[in-house]
Amino acid sequence: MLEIRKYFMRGNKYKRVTDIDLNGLRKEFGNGVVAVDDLSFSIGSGEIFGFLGPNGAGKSTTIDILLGYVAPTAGHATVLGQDVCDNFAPTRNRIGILPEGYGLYDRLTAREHVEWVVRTKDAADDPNTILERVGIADAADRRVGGFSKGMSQRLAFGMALVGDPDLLLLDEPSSGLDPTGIQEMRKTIRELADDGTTVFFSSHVLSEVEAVCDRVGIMSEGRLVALDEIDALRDQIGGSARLTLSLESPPRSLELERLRGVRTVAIDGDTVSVDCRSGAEKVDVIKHVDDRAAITDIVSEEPSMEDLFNRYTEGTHSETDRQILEVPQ
Amino acid sequence: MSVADVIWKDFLNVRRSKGIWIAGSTYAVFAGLFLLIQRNQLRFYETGREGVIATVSQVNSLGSFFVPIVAFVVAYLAIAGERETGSAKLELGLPNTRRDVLIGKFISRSFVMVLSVVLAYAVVVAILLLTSYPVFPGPTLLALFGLMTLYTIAYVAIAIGISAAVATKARAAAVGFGVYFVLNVLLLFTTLGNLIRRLHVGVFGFSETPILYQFASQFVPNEGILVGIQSITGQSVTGRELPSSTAFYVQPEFMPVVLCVWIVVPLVVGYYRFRRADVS
Repeated sequence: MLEIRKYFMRGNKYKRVTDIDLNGLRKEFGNGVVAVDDLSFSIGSGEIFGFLGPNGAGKSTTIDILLGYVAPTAGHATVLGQDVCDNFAPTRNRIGILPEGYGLYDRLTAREHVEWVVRTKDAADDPNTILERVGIADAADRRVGGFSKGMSQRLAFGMALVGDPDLLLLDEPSSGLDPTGIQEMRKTIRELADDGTTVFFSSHVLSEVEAVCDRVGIMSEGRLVALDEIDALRDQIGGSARLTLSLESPPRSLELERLRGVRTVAIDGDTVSVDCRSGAEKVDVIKHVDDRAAITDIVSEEPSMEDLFNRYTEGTHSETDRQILEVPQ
Repeated sequence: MSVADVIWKDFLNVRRSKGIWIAGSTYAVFAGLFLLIQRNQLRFYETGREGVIATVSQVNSLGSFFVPIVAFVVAYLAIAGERETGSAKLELGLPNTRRDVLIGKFISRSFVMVLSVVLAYAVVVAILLLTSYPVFPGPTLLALFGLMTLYTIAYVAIAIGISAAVATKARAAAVGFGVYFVLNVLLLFTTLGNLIRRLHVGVFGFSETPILYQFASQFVPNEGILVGIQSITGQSVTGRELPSSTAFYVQPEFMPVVLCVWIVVPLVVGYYRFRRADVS
C-alpha cells in the first residue's frame, strides 16, 4: 500500500517520504457508532491525495483524527512524522487546514483572521498577499459576519495557506464555491503540489477529485474500499470505455472484433459503437476505422468517477441508508 | 507564544461585542446609583467615616450577587460557543494546545471583567470625591477593590471551566445557571455549613464540629467575600465575630486563598475535560 514510488522525488522542500500514515485506525463514538474501522494507508510527500466517500462514510472523522480534534479509539495516526495524540500542536505549524464545519469570527475582518493565523504560526506572510491569492483582497477590511459562503470558504482556504505549509488538509474544500472559485482553488492546489506540498483532499464531488488528485482512496461505511491511482481504478472497471463514431456512409466490413481490447461492436446505419476494455484501445479503433471509412464525428466516453465510485461503495451500502451522490456538473 | 495569540484574537473579538460591554458596565451603573441613593443615609451612622465605609462595602456586597451573573455572561460561551460554531476547529487547527486556548480565554475574559470592576470603582471614586460624601477612605477602597477583583476572576474561572467542560452553548448555559443557583441563590436561605452539619450530625451521628461547618460556609465564594469585606471594614456583615485564636483557615484573612482555590480548581477540572474531548 505504500505509494511512494514516483512521489518520492517530487517534493523539493524537505526530504520526506511519508507524510500521513494511518495504522489500524478505529473510532467508536460514545453512542456506539463506529465511524472509522481498521483504517490503514499512507500518503507520500508531494502527493495530491483524494479522499472520497459518500456523506457519513467516515471521511470527516478520519480528518478530525488527523488534525488532532478527535482521539482514535484504537490504532495510530502519524502526520509529518508526529503521532497526533502526542504533543501534536507544534507540528501544526507545518500544516494548513480547512476543516469541515468550521466557523469564522463574525466580528473580525478577513485581514484580522489571516493576521491571527500569521501570528499564531509565527509566519512571515503578508495578509494582503494571502487575501489576493484567494481573491478577496477587496473585502480585506470587512467583518466576515456579512460574508457569503463562498467568500468565507475563500478566506478559510487563504488561512490554510499561511506559513507555506508542508501539508494541506482540506475537508470538502469546494463547498460553497462557485465554478470560478473551484477552478482557482484547483490551480492553487496544483501550484502548491508542484512546489512539494502534500495535499490531502476530501470530497464527495467526484469531478473535483478526478480533476486534481494523483491518487484516491474511497471510503465507505468506515472502511477503505479502494486505494489507487485514478487511471488504475478506471482500468479495473473496464468495459465501459465507449467510442461512438459517425461515418459518411454505412460501412461494409470493418472487422473491428479482431482488434485487441475490443469487447463489443454495434453498427446502426452509419454509426459505429465500440466498447473497449480501457481508454488505451480507443486510438487503435479510430485508426483502424479511419483506414476503411471516412469518419465525420467521434464521441468518446470514459467511465466516470461516478461509475467507479458506485461500484466500490454499492456493495457495502444497505438499501435504506443509501446516500444520494452529487453528480458532477 | 500561543497563549498571547489566543488572548490577542479573543480580546479583538470580544471587544467588538456590544452585549459584553453592556453586561460589563452594568455593575458600574448599579454601583453609581447605589452610592447616589445612599448619600442621605449617612446621617444614620455615628460618624461620617463609618457611614462611608459601610456604604462602599455594600457596593462590594451588591457586586457579590451581581458580578457572578455578569462573569457568566461574559465567559460562558468562550469555549463551548466556539465548539458549537466551529471556530474552535480553526483555533485548535493552529499550533495552539488546548491548554493555550483555555488559559488564553481565561486571561482575555478576566481582563474584560476586571475592566468592568475598574469601571465600577472609578464611578465609586468619582461619586465619593465629587458629591457630598464627607471622607474618602482610600486604603479601604483599594482593599475592597482587590477583593472584588479576585472574586470576579474566580467567577470567570468557574465560567471558563464550565465552558471547557461541555460541548454546547445550551449545556454551558444550563450548568452555569445551576452553579449560580446553588452558590448564590440557594445558599441565601441556608449555609453550606448548616447543610453539612445536618448530614454530619443528623445522618451520620458524629459529634458537632463547628469549625468544619464554618470553614465549609466560608468556602462558598459569596460567603467568603462577605467575611473578607468584614475584615477590611471592621464592620460585621455576617453577624458573627470570631475569636482570633481559631484556626487560620476560618479567619477572614484566609478568604483571598479561598478565592484563589476557586480560580484554580474550575480551570483544572475544565482543562481535564477539554483535553480529551472530541471536538467535531
